[in-house]
Amino acid sequence: MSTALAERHTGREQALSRVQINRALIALAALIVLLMPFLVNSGLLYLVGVTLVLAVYSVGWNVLFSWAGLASFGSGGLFCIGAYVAALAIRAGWGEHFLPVIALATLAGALVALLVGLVALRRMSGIFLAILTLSLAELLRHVLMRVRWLGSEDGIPNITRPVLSFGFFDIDLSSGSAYYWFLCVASAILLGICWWLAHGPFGRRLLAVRHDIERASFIGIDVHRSRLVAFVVSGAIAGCAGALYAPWAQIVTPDLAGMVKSTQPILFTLLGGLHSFWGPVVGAFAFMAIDYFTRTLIGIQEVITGGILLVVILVFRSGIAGGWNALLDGALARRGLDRALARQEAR
Amino acid sequence: MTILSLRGIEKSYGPIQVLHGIEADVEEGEIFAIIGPNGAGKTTLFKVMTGESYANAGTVTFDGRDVTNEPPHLRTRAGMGRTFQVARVFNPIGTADNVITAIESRKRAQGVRDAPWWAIRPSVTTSEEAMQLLDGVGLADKAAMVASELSHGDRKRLEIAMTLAGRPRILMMDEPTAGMSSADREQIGALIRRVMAAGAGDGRRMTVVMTEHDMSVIFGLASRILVMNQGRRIALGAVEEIRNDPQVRDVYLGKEDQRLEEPA
Ligand SMILES: Nc1ncnc2c1ncn2[C@@H]1O[C@H](COP(=O)(O)OP(=O)(O)OP(=O)(O)O)[C@@H](O)[C@H]1O
Ligand SMILES: [Mg+2]
Repeated sequence: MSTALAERHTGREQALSRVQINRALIALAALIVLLMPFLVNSGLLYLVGVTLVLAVYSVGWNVLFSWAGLASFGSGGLFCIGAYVAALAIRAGWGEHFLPVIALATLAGALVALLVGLVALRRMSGIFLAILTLSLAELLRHVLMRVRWLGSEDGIPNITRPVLSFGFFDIDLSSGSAYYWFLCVASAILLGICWWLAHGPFGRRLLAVRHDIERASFIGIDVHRSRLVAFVVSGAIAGCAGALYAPWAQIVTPDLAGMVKSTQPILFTLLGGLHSFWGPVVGAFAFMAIDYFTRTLIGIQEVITGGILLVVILVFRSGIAGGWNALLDGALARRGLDRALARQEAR
Repeated sequence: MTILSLRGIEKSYGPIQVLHGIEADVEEGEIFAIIGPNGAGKTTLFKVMTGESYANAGTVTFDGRDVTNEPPHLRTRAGMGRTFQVARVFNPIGTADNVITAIESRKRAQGVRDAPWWAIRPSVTTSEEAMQLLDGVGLADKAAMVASELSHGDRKRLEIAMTLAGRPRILMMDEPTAGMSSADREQIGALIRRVMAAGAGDGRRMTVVMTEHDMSVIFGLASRILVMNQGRRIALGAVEEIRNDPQVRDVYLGKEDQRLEEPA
């Protein structure tokens, strides 16, 4: 993911065409996602929308994990904060200013991440960060369950999907497919930002910190600051994803801060591909597909999901994306070899 | 002019005191070598000088500034570059990307903006500078390789290129030739001489501080030598003085005596 220059220099035909094939696949997937409202019923559309939001949220988590080398186990808490901010704002009648509301939720996620990061990232040990983030998210969940004003255990239901107002024109997002497309646009923007951050100078800095924190500081990188910024960015993405999620699900509950939400990005990344930008997206949709096709098998659904996860991780250590790339490289190399042999025979 | 000065440096790891009141001044433009038997405390002194760890007592002054408790990235930005005893580079990324990351870090610290804020790829000047630096250490043809594929010697070279990317005024090298073949050692020696000849930019002279096991490398290169034993300074002076110092001979007597002789 980081040998951009290397790839450019070698100009290896196969490396190039693998990138091209993957680009084409991403474009195709994006097209299918965009056409979903015409292809599936509203139940499945809802599922795809949720998966899209979770995919973005997981990419934000993975930028922290695979680039900065920090494993947060409490990202669900930040997602939940974003979702509650949006839900409260809409309940207060700010729905028509939904874009500023999203910005507010993003800011809330970033701010909380900043405060947590200032404490948690002082220590180098990863386990300290993991336990601290896990317990803070759990704490948030328990607080939310007790605050009557926030609906206690039932959360905030009946969140209306907003009608965006821009003065002279309105965009009505109250229908399912309209809000779905809004989700698509927002996800594309967020993924674009994440891609830009991960592959630009900031991403190179973070990778340096992950690969060798001491070496990084000895080329002049402020490692604490870089990690803190990554933590804040990841928090902002989680908050923003939460805000996008609230009107789609139309209900937010304290469970959003629970273990399940916090472990989702981890599982998606493991399944989809460690250290790969698109890995969490692939993982999120793979999980959705598994969940969907095993939905009738109540009781053994978790067993099947767990089994598949185990097999994929054992067979391809770098997840579906890594396995796919390896397969592709193998196939392309074989084709290259065939061509070379054919050329030799022709001579 | 003194560029780096150590006053009364003490360092302990738990109950074990590793450095005992080390005093030394490194002059600008010299090659300052630190020698001593295994476990003498050379690397520990290095760490204290560069900020990898902090002294329990004493002061480190760099370029007229007290940096005793300053973290490494600030010392690096102030012009201190270092390499490690076992070369440390960013293994999973490309050789050129290693150097590019270092150049970008320097430019960022200096506020140099030669690419638009939204640019993803490194700027052309950065890429070119990276290739020049790699060329300078003899790695130009390996720019496209992943750093982990490089040989041990090449990784040492890459580390030097990354360090030079920070445009240091003082180059701190902990055993630059450790684990290298004798041909590679010669090359590193020549490289250090070239770096010294090139200077530190703005007409300033480059300074090198290095530790070394191989006496032939040291005697061929160093201007002055600090000899350490069991965490204490036992001698400091020009090469000839050190070679004739009875105390130094004592430390190296027996198994290491021959190392004090000029190489054949
Ligand atoms: N992190 C540490 N914790 C405890 N003791 C240490 C630590 N680092 C070094 N020491 C001890 O400090 C002493 C000096 O070690 P140091 O690495 O500075 O020696 P050196 O002169 O660099 O040796 P070498 O020639 O083997 O590189 C040794 O006795 C070593 O065991
Ligand atoms: Mg040492």
